[in-house]
Amino acid sequence: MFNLLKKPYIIFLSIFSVYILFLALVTRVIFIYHLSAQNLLLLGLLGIDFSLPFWGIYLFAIGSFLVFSLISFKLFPRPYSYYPLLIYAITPWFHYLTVARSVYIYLLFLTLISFFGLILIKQKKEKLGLALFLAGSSLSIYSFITPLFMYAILLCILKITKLLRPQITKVMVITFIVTIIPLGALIRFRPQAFENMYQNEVTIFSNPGLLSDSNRLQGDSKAMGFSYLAKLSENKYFYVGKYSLMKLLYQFTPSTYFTPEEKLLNFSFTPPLFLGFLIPFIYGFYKIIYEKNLRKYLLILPVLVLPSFLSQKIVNLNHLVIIGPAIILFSGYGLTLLSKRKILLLMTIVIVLTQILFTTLDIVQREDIRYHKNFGVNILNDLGRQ
Amino acid sequence: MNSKKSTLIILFLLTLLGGLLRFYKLTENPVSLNPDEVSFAYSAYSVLKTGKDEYGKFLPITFKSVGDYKNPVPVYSLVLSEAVFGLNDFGERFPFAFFGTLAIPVLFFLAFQLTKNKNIAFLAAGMLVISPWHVFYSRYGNDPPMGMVVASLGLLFFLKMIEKRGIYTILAAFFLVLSMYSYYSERVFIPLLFLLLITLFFGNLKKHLKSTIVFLTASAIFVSLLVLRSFFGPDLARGNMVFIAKDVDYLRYIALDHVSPGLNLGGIHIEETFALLTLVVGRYLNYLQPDFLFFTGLNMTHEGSLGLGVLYLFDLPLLILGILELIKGKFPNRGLNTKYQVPLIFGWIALSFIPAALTNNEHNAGRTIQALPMVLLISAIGFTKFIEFIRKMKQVYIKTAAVLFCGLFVLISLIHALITYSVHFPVDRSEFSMKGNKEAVEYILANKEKYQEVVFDPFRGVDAPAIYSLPGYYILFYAKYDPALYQKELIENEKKGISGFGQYRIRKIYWPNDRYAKDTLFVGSPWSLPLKDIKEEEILKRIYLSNGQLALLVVNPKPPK
Repeated sequence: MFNLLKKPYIIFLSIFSVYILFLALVTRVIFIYHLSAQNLLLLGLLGIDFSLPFWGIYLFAIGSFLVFSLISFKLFPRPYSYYPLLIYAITPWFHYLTVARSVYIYLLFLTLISFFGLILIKQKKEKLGLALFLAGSSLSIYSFITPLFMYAILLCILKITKLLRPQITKVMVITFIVTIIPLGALIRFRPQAFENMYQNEVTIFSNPGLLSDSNRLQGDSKAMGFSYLAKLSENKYFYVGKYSLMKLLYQFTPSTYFTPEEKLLNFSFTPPLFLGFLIPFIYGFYKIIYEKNLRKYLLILPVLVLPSFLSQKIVNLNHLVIIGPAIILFSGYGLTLLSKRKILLLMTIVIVLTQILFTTLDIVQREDIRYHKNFGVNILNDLGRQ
Repeated sequence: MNSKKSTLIILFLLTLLGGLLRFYKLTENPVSLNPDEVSFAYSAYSVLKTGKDEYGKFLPITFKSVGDYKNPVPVYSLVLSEAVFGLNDFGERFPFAFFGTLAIPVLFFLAFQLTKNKNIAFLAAGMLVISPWHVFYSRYGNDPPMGMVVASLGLLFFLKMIEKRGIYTILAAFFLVLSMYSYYSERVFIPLLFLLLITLFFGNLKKHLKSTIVFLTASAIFVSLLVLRSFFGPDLARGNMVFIAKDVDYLRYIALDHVSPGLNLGGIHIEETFALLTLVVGRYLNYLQPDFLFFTGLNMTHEGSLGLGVLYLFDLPLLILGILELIKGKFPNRGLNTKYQVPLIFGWIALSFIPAALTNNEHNAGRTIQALPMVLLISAIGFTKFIEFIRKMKQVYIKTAAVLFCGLFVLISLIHALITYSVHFPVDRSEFSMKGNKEAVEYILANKEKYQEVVFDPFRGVDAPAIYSLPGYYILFYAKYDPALYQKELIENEKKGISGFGQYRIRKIYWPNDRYAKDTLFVGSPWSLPLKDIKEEEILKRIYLSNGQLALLVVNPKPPK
């Protein structure tokens, strides 16, 4: 019998309430602002103009929280499984993007479904797991362009590292190919529509300064008599390669996630995740590197940063949101380990509680003023395409 | 040839190569002495000639400068250098390049002491030879690498002390404390390092209580003068000046009313304090950003374009491998027990970034150079793992391809560094080395007899007159101005922003008034000497930056009779 008065349900519902309360708080303050709408790939190719309604994004956000809960319950024993949930509930990143109606919350939901599927496969519930993985990945691929690369790379990683049973990986690869055939056909018929959508989503090299910088550096070197050496080290391929590597590394920098270095929605001073969680994150990450069995799962991380990597900004927190749950899982894992190290745990709790207090006050008192200072009073409805 | 002899020969060759990279065309690149360099040099010259600094203080521990205070070790090193080479560009840069070269054998012995593995020690020293971070700062006559090498010596002797006691006890205390007299960052770093060392080696220190007492007493004696000056003297002013609470970003954050005074507990504004702490942690984490580490950290090219980071790109995989090896404790280590080694190496690096995180400026590679010895040690450990990895490859063609690919990558990185240093840096950053000040002063000195007064505007800059260039020190330096005379003649009016000596005045030029001055030579940027308001025959000299932009004008107004 489903008894809501049981302790686990009460704890879960309490955390869920915290999540909803925080979401409500952010909604109350910045609901008026939203990112520009983005059409889904399939609908765009079919010529249908559509954008997800705001309540749809809210539903996907809540759905993401619920799927993340299932993941947490699968990965951690109770009561440790509540730690990641609690971190998720109070993470401003998800709330801000939900309120700003980011379509990437929908991608977050689909990605979580896929990864929940992978966890189920790993835990021998292969049929259900496979179904969920295929559902999540197919919908992602038909909704956005970057997941096509994401899942292709993920399957390669799964194949090389043998993280799953070879037969299962084989089925996944075949299904992936079958899934993308109709999409390929559709793109063939509507190349212009695809081109437009591609240029909106994959903007990594659209920075005009990139080539001019490279040309200037090569020109200066040649003028000083380094013509042969400059061809080797100052050419555009080396320069663009360096830029790409820098961009990739930026996606893995702690300050991206735990400080307001990159502004949420381009104006907020709220960090994506609370700084206090950096301590358990580092500890959890360190322990995962230490554990031979867990280490190889880190190879999946680069896949999750791909949407942000392929965008024009060095770090695009909107596109990067799908890696958020992974960061939270590391922090949650670290937090479970920290329960044996009381001083670090206490430090974490004190920092997080203090930051929650100040951030909440800051959101209520100043987020609105800040928006107006940054974008002017007349720009209420569009923060510009990210 | 026995092993000891070959070790010394290899080490000598590495040091020689390191010296070559640090001394080759030392006076030409960086293209000009910067204000810190001339200020250091003239203070030393003043001590050499009069026994007093330029403000008339006898053998000071802290040297006053314009809006700043200088450390004693660099200045007294310069006294020796100037006694030998004289007051010139080479004499100024010599001790810093020398200390930079000295760092190579020091790192070798430190790495060897930590790991008792010669290969790792050679690799670490070899990496220091070509380290862009270290070469860059060794060629600038500035104090960061000096602090680094003295602190590294301190750690080396401390580890020797743990092993053998004896004279190392005093040497450890002396060098650890001396580094605090060498560079300001060490004044934060060394006390934290002391805590780390005492915590790590508590058992050992307790066991040898007598030598521990000697070590602590010696340290206390050496540091006492500094403590007095830091808390009650002028050194506190320097600390206050660069403290992060004075940071532009932070002040702007407060000024924009993002933080209100809010809750006040015993005079401490809780919200402001929390904002400050968050900023400190943010700054700390920013030093781990990839652009600083691998792409732009040394600021050698135009803003926005990718130049050189403090580390090479090929250091990245080596660092990852090295970190993994250290954590796993699998590398061939016959030195310090990993129980001490891992926290010491990581702790040293972690502490190195704290002084920089507490001070203003987003990224300051000089303030964090302390981390370099241990970073290179980790890279060297990673390198040994990489070699082992290559050796284990069975297929010869894959092995050859891997070696060729990696070799090419290293070669391209080194060529890129060479071109950045010799082509882009002198052109793109000549303004920040104050290119033009020397030429202006040389012109002034050649023509000073013709004028009653020479006015030099301290503010310059192509985009805006925002760079304070300390021209007074350039005149003192290149004129080899008699320090005794300077000590008597110095006039300073901080309120009016005027200073000077003899016929020289350092002040802002206001052309609508100054254009009527007679027998006066003016030197300033086009911001203070607007070209449209000056007749062609009034301009005596135009001085350009390396990239061809006009930096300074030398003007003699010819007022209507």
